[in-house]
Amino acid sequence: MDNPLLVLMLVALTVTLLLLIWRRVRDGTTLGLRPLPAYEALRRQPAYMVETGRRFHMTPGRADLHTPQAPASVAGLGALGELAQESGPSPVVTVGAPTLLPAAQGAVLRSYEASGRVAEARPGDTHFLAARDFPLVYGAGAGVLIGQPEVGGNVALGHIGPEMVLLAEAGQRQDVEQILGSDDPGAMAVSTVFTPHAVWGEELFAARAYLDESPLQLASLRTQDVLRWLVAAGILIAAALRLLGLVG
Amino acid sequence: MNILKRGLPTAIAVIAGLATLAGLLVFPDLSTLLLEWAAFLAAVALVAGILNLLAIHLRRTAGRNIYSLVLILGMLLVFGLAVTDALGLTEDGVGTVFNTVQVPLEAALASLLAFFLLFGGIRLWQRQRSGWAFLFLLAILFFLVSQSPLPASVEELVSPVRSFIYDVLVTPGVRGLLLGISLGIITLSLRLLAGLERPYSS
Repeated sequence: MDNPLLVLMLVALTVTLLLLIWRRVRDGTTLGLRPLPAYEALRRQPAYMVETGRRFHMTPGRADLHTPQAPASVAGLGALGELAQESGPSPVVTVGAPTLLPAAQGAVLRSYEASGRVAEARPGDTHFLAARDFPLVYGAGAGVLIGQPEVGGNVALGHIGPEMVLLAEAGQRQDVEQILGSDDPGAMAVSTVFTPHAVWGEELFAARAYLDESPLQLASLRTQDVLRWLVAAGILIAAALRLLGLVG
Repeated sequence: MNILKRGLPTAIAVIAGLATLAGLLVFPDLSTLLLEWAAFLAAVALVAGILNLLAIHLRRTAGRNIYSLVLILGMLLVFGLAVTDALGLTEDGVGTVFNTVQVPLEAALASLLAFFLLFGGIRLWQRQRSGWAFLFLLAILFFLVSQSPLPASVEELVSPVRSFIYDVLVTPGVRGLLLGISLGIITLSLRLLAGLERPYSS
């Protein structure tokens, strides 16, 4: 790591902010969430599945848990856990990385345990389709599963690259509601074409805050917002200083 | 029992996470060792994943699913070739299958992505005739045309426009998005490190 001191300072700043905001939320301060159409649609998914008896397809993408892209897929797993808890029939889950398979199976199983319906969970419906080096093979395989008549919704939130086109196209063909988000700018652009419920940028990491609304998740989201304003202010100040010729 | 079920995985995860972070900052050998363990576990997970895939398709074969049968036969063929390669009976059999089947199929699929996008853009235009949808469709068409081989005179006209779009509009936008994503990754990683977020236990 190039600059350990900088990393430690960043970690300390983030932890301090997170703890301060978390304490305030637990003490009763209300943090309003700005409306995000994608997460409002995501909240509707379980009720729709219960009403229709159909299942939703969900993927956290294809980031192995020991890789730098893992947080995006972990965020997707969090959303999967929250959705499965309220959903009727067990979801169809596809993953494009082997370490995500037990993680996703565990998320489904724990959600059903938490809601006292462990017998209804079908962790066997979590499919590992291809290793992370073969995104299009994964996308083609997931597309076939999304095309099953029993699938009534498509939720793709995680580390997803060019295969987003195949996932989204399959969902569009099936004419189901889609909530699509990724940490890849190209996949984000693709999501916008296929659904009005695209999740952009850091919104991907806000899924649990919107679904769970626990003090920790809300505090984490607000910390992210504060950091974003700090970064934006830093960029503006640096640009102004450079414009004035005060820095090289 | 509950403490074992919830506390133990959390304690292991937090200690491993903090040790890796400390290793990355001050003890590189420690983080390398931990990452090697993680890579080994990922390899074991890959074997488990392949067995899961095989089990699912074996069940489907019982329902006379022809695609599952082809997949199983393909798996067995590649596994057989790997064994004969290792025994020296064949030379680079797995590589040959990979280069003659997998690579062309992936390339063909990749070349179709642009057209999936184009049709998606057209459907977006049909669904909502907004200025943004029109702009998106226009951008797809422009980049499809401008990336194809063009006469030199046309290329001279198109090239500065393409560079302007890339350098002034696309690159800053992408950087902004990536900054936001990085902040999200930082906060989520710290929640994981502190054991506040536990994707491995309830």
